[in-house]
Amino acid sequence: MCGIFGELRLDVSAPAEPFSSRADTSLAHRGPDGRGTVRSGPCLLGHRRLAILDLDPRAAQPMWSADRRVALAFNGELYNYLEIKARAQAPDGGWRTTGDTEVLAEEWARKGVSALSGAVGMFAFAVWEERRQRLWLVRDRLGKKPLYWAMTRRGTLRFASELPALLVDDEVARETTLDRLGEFLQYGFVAAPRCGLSTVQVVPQGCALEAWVDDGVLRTRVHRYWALPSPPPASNREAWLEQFRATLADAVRIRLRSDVPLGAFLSGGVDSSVVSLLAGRALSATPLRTYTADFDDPRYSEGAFAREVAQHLGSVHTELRVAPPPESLAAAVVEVWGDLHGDPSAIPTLAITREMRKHVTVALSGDGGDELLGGYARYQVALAAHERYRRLPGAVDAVLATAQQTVPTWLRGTSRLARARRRLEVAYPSELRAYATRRWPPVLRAEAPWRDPLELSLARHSHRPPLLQMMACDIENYLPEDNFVKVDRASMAVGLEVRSPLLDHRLFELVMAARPDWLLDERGSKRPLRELFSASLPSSVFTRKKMGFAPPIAEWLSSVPPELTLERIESSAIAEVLDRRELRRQVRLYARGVHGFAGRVWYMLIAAEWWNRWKPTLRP
Amino acid sequence: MTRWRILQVVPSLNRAGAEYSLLFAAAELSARGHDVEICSLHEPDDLLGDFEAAGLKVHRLGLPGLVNGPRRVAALARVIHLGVFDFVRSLMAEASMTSALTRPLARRPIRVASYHHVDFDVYPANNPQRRARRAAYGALMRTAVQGHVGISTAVARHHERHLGLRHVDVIWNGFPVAELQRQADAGKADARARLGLGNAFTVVCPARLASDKGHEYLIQAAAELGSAKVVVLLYGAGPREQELKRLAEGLGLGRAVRFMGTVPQSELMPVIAAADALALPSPHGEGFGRVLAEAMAVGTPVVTPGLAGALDFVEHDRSGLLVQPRSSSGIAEALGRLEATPGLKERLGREARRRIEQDFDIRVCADRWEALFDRLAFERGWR
Repeated sequence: MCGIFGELRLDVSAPAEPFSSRADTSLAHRGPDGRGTVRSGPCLLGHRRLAILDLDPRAAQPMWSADRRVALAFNGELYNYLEIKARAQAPDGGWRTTGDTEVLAEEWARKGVSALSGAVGMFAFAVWEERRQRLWLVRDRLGKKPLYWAMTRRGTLRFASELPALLVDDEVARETTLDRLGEFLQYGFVAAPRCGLSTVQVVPQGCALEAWVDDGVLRTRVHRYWALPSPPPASNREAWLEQFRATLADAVRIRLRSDVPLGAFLSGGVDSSVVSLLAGRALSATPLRTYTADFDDPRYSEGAFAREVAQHLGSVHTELRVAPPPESLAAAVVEVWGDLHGDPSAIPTLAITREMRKHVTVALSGDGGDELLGGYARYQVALAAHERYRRLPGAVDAVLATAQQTVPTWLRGTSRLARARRRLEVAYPSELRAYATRRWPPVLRAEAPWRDPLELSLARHSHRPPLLQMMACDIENYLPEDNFVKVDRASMAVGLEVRSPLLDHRLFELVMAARPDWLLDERGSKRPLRELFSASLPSSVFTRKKMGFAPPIAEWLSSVPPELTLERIESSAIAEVLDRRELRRQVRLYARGVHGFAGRVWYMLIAAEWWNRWKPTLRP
Repeated sequence: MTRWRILQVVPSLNRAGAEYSLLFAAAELSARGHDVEICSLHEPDDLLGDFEAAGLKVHRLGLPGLVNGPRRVAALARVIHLGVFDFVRSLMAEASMTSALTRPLARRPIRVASYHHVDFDVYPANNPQRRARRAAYGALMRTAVQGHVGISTAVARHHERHLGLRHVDVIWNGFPVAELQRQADAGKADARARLGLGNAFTVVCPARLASDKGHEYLIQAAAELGSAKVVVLLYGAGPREQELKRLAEGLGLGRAVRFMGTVPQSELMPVIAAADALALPSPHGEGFGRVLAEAMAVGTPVVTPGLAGALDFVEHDRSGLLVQPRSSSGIAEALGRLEATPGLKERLGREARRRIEQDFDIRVCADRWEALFDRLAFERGWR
């Protein structure tokens, strides 16, 4: 886990900008253990290293392949590097290191982008192919590791692991558009390939960006090397379950490879308990270390559950006391995140990773279980609505479809007409649009048209059964844009590597071949985990009420009086584009504790702080 | 690099040039992360397997004829609406008119019409019904379609003039050049022996056996060259098969002109690569002329009238030989020159190959489609 940056220049003869040293400083928190740059012709690769595998300086990056055909700056982990190495042909002079970076560099030199076909991992990396003069920017299948890129005013392509590293000088214009704000204020993120700034892009999940200079023009091309597959439905549940078990065990096993201290988050819930159980079995010789975040508020404490599981597993258990963070929450989050990111659980995540880092450098987590196995309650709510209206006669269905799209968007709001429109949307869920279109009353003075990423995802996966369709939508949006951003930035801010076996892409591929009732039955979700591991874990793991990740965010947020929050937003330049009346109304609803509006106000606060930090120009 | 949702509407999945170009472009755009789905209005569905093998979802409406017109529009509108598409690209007049008519029912997508032919002069609007249809076509394209694309410069200008369009962009049909070259190389060495061609000067002509392809000019040219000198391989099937067979036999070319039927691309490419020339004598020219470009990609010199689409990539005496339209003597002279001039075939073939690799690879074609989509989206206000 590291930070990478670099550039591909159009004009090699132009004097070097101080970008390299500034970006290096900006990403220092991601890699405190080492730094390095490689310059080759028009390309610069930079790297900040957090050493996890092969702590020897020979494993420093950027790293050239043995034949010096490719140079690689790698952020992340290639978990199955030992298996790939065993199959691969050793380079001339033999392997120089015992880490994963060299394996990928040699594989890329031989196979190019096909090197990724058997790779399991979380990564974002840059490869410079010296002979072909091509730069590749690659992101892992699910998009766990971040990778931003932009064109500078002088036509140079720049990339970096985090947005602030691209903006270390004025070379990248700071511009944004109303539709980005609209999307953020609706969902709390701006979906890839876009980000908060219109001048910066993100390499999407499962994609590789190829860049080269052709006839004095810098050209780019995107290759999608992976997409969520649509395999034929599996027919034999027992065989499928066995394959799931074996893949999950392997996913945990390969994530235990580390040359630095490793532990596991344990909340006492299903996901983290299963991961800890499998990790404990795989380690066998040494006891696993487990950690629980405990809050002062007993309503959110999971300490007792975690203790019970830890005792059952025989792990060395530690409870981390997590204190409320400082007052200027939103500003702190924007400082660490850089981009528009609205999930308020970022605050406790940051507090927990900070505590965890005092004990270990690598942490296993149970993240991803809900997306993998249909764990969210919202799936069940949407499925119930879908089932209720599924049998509408074709003619009624068609009339509703037409009516739905002819109701003008200005009717959105909390008026009676808007509620009617909302009912219409719920009443026409043939494509589960109701699941995506959680329209809040717009707070922007003038809303620009924007392509709703959730709506597009649902349409993209309309051939799947409804449950898998919603899960696929989350895999494409919520996971990379919200969850992964939160975990990456919070862990990297303190130099901690978080590994999530339930986010192994092989498991997602398997699940897409499952029948929905194999995941979700009348006893609840995560049926495979229940059936495979209920005998090995305390019964409370499966019977306790699901808490999710619910630390006392609302209480922490409300420590700041609503008037101060309103003042903070109104004093920001973003207030220019907000509808003041609507803004005040929503803050009033938040102050009264109306459900959902705390999140709305949090988004606005984040947008205001983000605007204050980057002072972007608003483009029409 | 926005991931667009694109619906490609095509009258049918016939085994023809436009449908193949759609297959290649759709597969490439899909490999770049765009969501590409296909909608065919009616049968035949010959290429369905190829589209599905490329991982493309195909909606088949199965609604042919004028009588199904309203149902076709409603069904397409439903596909567009439920699919939440950003772009609906339609190929050829029937699909473009249907797509345009769905606009009041499905307003979200940006509509792009692709034009493939240069036949307004060949089939003039010379009666009230045709005039009304032509006028409706033009009006629909001008008002309900935001992007217009011709597959060659000639096609683009032709449609600007006849439909009163302000501007038609040109995006050439691309194809996977390296894959085609690999196919050709795989069987080139033994293709001549397999067909028993010996050292005969071999001209190949892969085209539907229909009147707009002008096979008679090639057969007459073969007669002028003499049956002992030349072998003509006609690939394809069509309504004129018997007529053309009679013509060949009448000219004493029963053995020199061979009717080879329809074969898969993988079987055809080695033959094209092994041939001495490819001739496509279409009297009105081709909208694009895919087989010409494919032959050039594998270094086989081409002979074709200097008309329409071919002018975009065949430069006379540099990357091929252009002849007068409807002129068997012109074709005979060009083929005679190829046979008699040492090094000419190789010189033309080399330049032809370079030209196609540079501008007609499917990746370049997809770059242009992406640029067009980005531009139209920007105009729509999607940033």
